Amino acid sequence: MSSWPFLVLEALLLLAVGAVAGYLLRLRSRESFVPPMPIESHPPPFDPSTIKRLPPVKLEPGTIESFVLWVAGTPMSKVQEVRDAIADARADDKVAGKLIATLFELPATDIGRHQMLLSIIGEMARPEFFEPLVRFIELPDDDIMCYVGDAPPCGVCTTQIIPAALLKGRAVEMLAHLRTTEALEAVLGFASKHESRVVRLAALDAYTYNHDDNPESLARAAAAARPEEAKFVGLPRRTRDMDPEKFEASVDAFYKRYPEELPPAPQMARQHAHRHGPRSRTQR
Amino acid sequence: MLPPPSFPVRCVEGANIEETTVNNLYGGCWRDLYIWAWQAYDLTDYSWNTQGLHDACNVKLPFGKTINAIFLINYALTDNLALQWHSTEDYVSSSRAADNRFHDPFYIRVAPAEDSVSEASAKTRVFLARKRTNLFCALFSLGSVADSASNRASTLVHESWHHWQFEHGFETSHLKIGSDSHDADWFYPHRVSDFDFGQLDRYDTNPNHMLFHSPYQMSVEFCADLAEMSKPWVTVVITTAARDMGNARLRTQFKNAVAYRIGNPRPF
Repeated sequence: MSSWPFLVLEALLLLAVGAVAGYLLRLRSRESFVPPMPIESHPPPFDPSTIKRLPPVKLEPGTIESFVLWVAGTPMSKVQEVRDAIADARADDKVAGKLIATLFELPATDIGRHQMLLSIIGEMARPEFFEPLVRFIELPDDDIMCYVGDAPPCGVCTTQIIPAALLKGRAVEMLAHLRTTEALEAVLGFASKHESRVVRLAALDAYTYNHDDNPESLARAAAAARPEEAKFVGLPRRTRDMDPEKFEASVDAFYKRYPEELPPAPQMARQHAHRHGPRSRTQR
Repeated sequence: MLPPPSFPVRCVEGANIEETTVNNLYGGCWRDLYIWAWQAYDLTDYSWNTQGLHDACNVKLPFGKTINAIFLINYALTDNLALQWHSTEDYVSSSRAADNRFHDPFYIRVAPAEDSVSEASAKTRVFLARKRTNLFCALFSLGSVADSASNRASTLVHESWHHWQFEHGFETSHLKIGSDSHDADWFYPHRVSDFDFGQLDRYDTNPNHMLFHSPYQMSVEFCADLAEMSKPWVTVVITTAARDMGNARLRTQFKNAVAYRIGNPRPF
C-alpha cells in the first residue's frame, strides 16, 4: 500500500502527463489564434497608377548612386528611358571611371545594386570595360560577396547559389555585350575554363546571343564547351516576345536528342497517411 | 498567451535596393495588404513577434520582407495565357496557408536555421503539431544572396510545393547531387498548354505523358514568369534578380538538364 507522499507524487505525475498531453493536443487542433483564414479570399485590390516613380537622374560622376536607384525602380515598360540616359553619358570618361570604381567597392552587401551597376556598365559598352570586367570575373568569390549572418559564411548554400557566381554570370553577359572580338574571345574562354558552372553556361549563351545565334557561333561555342556541357549550347530563351510554338519545339527537340535527360517517374512516399485515403496516381 | 520561442533568431537587419523598390511600389506601407497576408499566409506564429510583426511596414525586418514577397506573388504577373507557365491564382493558392486543393493547412514561421546551409524548410510529417514552413535568416539577412524579394517569393512557392507533395503522397525530400551533395530535384519538362490556368495542382505519372512538378521546378517557373511575364510596372531590379536567380537554379539544382534559359543576356 502506498504511503501518502507517494500518492501525492503519483497524483502530481498524472497531472503533469495530463498537462503535457493537453498542451500537445491543443497545438494539434489549434488552427490559428486569428479567425479562420482567410477572412477575404482575395487580396486587396492594387491600383498601379498610385506608384510613385523617382524623377529621372542624369548620369554624372556625382550621381552614380541615385542613378542606380532610379534604374532599379524603372518599370520594364519604360526601360528605353534608361538606355537613352546611359547613351547620353557614354562619352563621359569620368562617368565610366566612376562606374568601374563603384563596381570594385567590394565585398558587395547588396547583390541587386551590383546587378544594376553591371547592367549600366554593359549598356554603356565602352571597349575599355574589357579589362575591369575580366578582372571582376576572375576575382576570388569571397572578395566579391561575403555573407555574415547567424550561420557560417556559407549560410546560403542550401540553394547552392554562390552569390559571386550570380554576379560573375551577369558580368560575363555584359562582357559579351561589348561585342568586340577581344571580349567575345574572352567570353568563349570563360565558357570553357571558369570554375563556376553558372558562369560557364552564361558565357555559352551570351556568346551565341551576341552572334545572333548563327551556326558558326553555335559550332564554336559547342567546341569550346566542356564535353558534358556542349548540350547546353543553343538552348531556347524564354522571353516575353518569344514564339511559344518555336520555344516548345526546341525544348522537345532537346529531349528527343538527349532522352537520357528525361526524368524518371516521381517517387511515392513510403508511408503516407492521408486523410482522404489513397488516390489514383493519374490525376489529369 | 504562450511566451515567444526561447531560441533567439537574429537576422542581419537592413533593406537592399530590391527590397526598397518593391516596398515603394505599394507606397511603403499598405495596411490592408499586411493584415490580409498575415491571415492568408498564417504569419501568426509567435516567432514573428520578434521579427517585425509590430513594425509591419519596416522592410529591414523579416515580417515586412515577407510581405514584399507576398506582394510579388499576388500582383506582379500578367497572366498571359499563351506564355506564362502558371497563373497568379495557381501560385497564390499553392503558397497560401489555407487548406485548399494543393495542400492541408500550414503556418509559416521564422526559425533558427537547422544547419548552416538552409534558407527554408517545410515540415510536413509532424506528430501532434501543425504542418508548417520554417523560414531561416538566410532569406532575410542583409548581404545574403537569398535576401531578395523575388527569391523569397519563389521560396514560398517552393516550400508550399513540399506540402503539395505530401498531400498527394509523393516523397518530399530532395535529391543530393554534386561533390558537395547539395539539394536538387528532377525537372519534369512540360508545355505551357499542358497546365491550363487553375490546373497546377494536377499531375500525371504515366511515363508516356508525364506531367509533374518538383519543388525547385516550381521555384524556377515562378522566377521565369516574374522575370519575363510580369506586369509593365514591375521594375528592372526585380526582373533582373528573378532572371539571374532562376538561371542559376536551372543550372545547379536539377539532376537532369533543363532545356531552356530565362531571358536574353543583354543589359536591359
